[in-house]
Amino acid sequence: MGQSRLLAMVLALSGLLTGCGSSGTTGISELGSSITVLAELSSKADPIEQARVQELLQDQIKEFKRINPELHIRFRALPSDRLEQEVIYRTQRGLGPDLMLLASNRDLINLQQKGYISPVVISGQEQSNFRSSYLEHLRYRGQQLAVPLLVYPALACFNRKRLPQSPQTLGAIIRLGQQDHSFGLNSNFEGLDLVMSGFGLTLFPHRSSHSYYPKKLLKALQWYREANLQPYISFVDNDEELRQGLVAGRFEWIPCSSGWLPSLQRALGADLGIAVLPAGPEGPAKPMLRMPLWVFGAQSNPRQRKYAKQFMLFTVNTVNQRSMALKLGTVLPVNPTIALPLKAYPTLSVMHTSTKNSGTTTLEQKHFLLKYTKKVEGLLNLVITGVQSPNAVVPKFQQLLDAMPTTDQQ
Amino acid sequence: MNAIALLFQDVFADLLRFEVQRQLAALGLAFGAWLVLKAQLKLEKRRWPREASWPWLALVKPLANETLLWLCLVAVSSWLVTTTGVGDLARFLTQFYGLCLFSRLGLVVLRLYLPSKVVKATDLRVIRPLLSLVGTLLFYAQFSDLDQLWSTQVLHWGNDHLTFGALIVLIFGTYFVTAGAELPALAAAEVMRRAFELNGPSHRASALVIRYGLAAIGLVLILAYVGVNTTLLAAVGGGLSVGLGFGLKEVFSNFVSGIWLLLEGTVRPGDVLLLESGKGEDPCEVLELGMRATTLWRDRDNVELVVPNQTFFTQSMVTYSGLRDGRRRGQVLIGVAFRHPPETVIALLEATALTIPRVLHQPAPKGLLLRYDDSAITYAIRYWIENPMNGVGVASDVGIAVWNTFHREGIEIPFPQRVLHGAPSLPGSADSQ
Repeated sequence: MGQSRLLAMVLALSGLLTGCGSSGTTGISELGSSITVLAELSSKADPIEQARVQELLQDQIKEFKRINPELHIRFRALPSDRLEQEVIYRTQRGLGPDLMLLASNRDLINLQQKGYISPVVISGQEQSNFRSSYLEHLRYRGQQLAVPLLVYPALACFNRKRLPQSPQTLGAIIRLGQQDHSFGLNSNFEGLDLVMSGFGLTLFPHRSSHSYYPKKLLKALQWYREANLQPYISFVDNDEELRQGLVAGRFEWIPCSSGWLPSLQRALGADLGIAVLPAGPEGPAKPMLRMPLWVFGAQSNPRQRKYAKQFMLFTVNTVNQRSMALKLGTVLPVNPTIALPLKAYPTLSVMHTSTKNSGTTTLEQKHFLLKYTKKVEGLLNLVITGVQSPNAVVPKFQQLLDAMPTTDQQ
Repeated sequence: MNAIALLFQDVFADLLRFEVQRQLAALGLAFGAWLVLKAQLKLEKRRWPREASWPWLALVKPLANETLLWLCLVAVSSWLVTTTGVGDLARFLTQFYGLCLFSRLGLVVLRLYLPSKVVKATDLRVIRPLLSLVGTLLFYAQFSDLDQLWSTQVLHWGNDHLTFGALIVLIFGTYFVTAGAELPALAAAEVMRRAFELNGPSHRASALVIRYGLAAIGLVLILAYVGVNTTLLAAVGGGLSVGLGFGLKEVFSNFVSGIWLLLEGTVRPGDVLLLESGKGEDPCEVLELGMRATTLWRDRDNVELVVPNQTFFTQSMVTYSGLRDGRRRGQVLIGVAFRHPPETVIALLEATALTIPRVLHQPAPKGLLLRYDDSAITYAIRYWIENPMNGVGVASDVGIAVWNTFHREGIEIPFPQRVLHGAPSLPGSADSQ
């Protein structure tokens, strides 16, 4: 008898909760709600900058709770590997996070296929909070998988005490490298993007450009080979080593992200110089933008989804975006309606110039690239280390690039 | 309080998720299926095959329905995980139920080797509270970050702080160490009893010493985990010593007395002793030697006396289960008329005492002529008994048997007689007139 009563209670409670869940706005669910927000602490990012962003987000959570007092936001910032574990742990229980702030190099298509994230519907009016190009490249099969929070432009960082001016071209880097000026360059995928764009190449070329692609690629790889022959130009394969190299004086110039500026400024002070990245023979460098992305969990109840979206929109509104850009001084807003005082903030001005030339990759391209990153980097290293000549590597590169989706296939 | 409200808010919001509700519904389905199966199978009532030949089956039979429920939950949660990939909440609840079931099975096994009373007390005082605590923390971990909660600082003083985890370990750990040390102590004492052939009181004393030892080790480990500042500990120790000097003096004195008595072995559970206030009439058995007081059982009126430990430490006492042996010598005094030869009377007394079942034949009962009184010669019949607690009862039996024997043999038990002689009257007195 007692067990039957227990079963009846369980069923009644289940029915009650189902009812609340479906209506989403009435009944017991009005009592309050709670969302889980996770932020990724990327190992590539500057720890000081991450702490500042985290602090700002917590301030915004407080502000958001002021206007939504019934809401409880569980916010946690986790290193990339722990974030993955946490997402898997929670999703397997049906308790996946409602909102996540991920680093820009995440394969969102893969996350969606695994059921960890789901698309968000952004109305026309809500879209006005974002530059349209930023939103476009975060769509997959017509669905908005993510929205950006901030923009970290790619820059050139240098020690003004030892190198008065940043080189304007890739050729100048080699010339200065012959004159006792030390340079640190990426031997990874991001470095390749910087050099290739200077030679008029993109990793996802238009089909019509395939005919002249090998010629330009050969020139780019020859530049790599020549650069590595210079005694003062070094290639390293991780961002931390580049940062530490500039701080410790091993390098006078490095390609950097605006997100690294807090650490570099703390170490170099007024000696830190920043500039746009050097152009190549075919035009200015067009590095990919780094943007932390908001993505939405796939298991939220309607109220949780509503609050998660409201909070996301809160962080990209005009007031908060401007506040973040000015407080951090290392980011640009994604909201196009904001006019920053560029004259008063020279750093922001350089970042703004850099962004004009920057490019973006679609989610499909990123999905593809992340699968082939190791292969691309492997080929690049064959050239850098002199194991194979640029001429020998070009066909292999071409073969790989042929397999990649072209811009017109998107 | 606010944290608990937020936890409820978090859990409630998450319960509204479809995936969570699906798991709860699946568990509800398993529960319903179990109710049907239980009614159909009647596992605990029906006779099982080989039940007669395998006696252990009877022990686990009361757990049959619970095991059936667990199997239903396992089946449903595994199906959920396989088909949807989202079922770990259901699996957690199933696994926790399995843990509870396993603990009950463990208790059934323990009952085979340890006193049922102790196992039951351990179940109620330790196993159930421990499962409740672990269950609550694990349930919290399903919905929120337990690591974060565990390391949250909840108390601050000076430069030191106490985290939530340390506080939990300090409060509940101390409780579980002190309450849970009994069972392992008894098990260890049982091993020692078999290995060193300890008698009852020694066995019980060793169990108590081991229990205190385990509790002390546990407390030290807890303090080490909590990371108690040694300076702070010294300060607390200093404060405590002042406190001991005043308010806690009696408590501390009783505790130390208890430990000392155990180590010395003068008072052990199972001993029979007479307190000075008992006038030797009422022997009491020591039931338990506690931290503060000793519990004695008095046979006469079936009362339990709670005597502070230091009483035994500061006062002399009579014990029947001391170093020499546990036997008690009793005696009955009786007056017999002068005309009966003492040899005859003493022989009758000794023979009579031997007829009482609880009187030991070795050492043999001894009859004695004690003294010549006014109305009778006073004899004593002294005898030995095995159980000191039976002193009064056996004395009564011996007294009755002696009366019957004397009556049968014509031996007179005289009552006191006093012959009064009147003084001769004086001449000229009123009487003579």
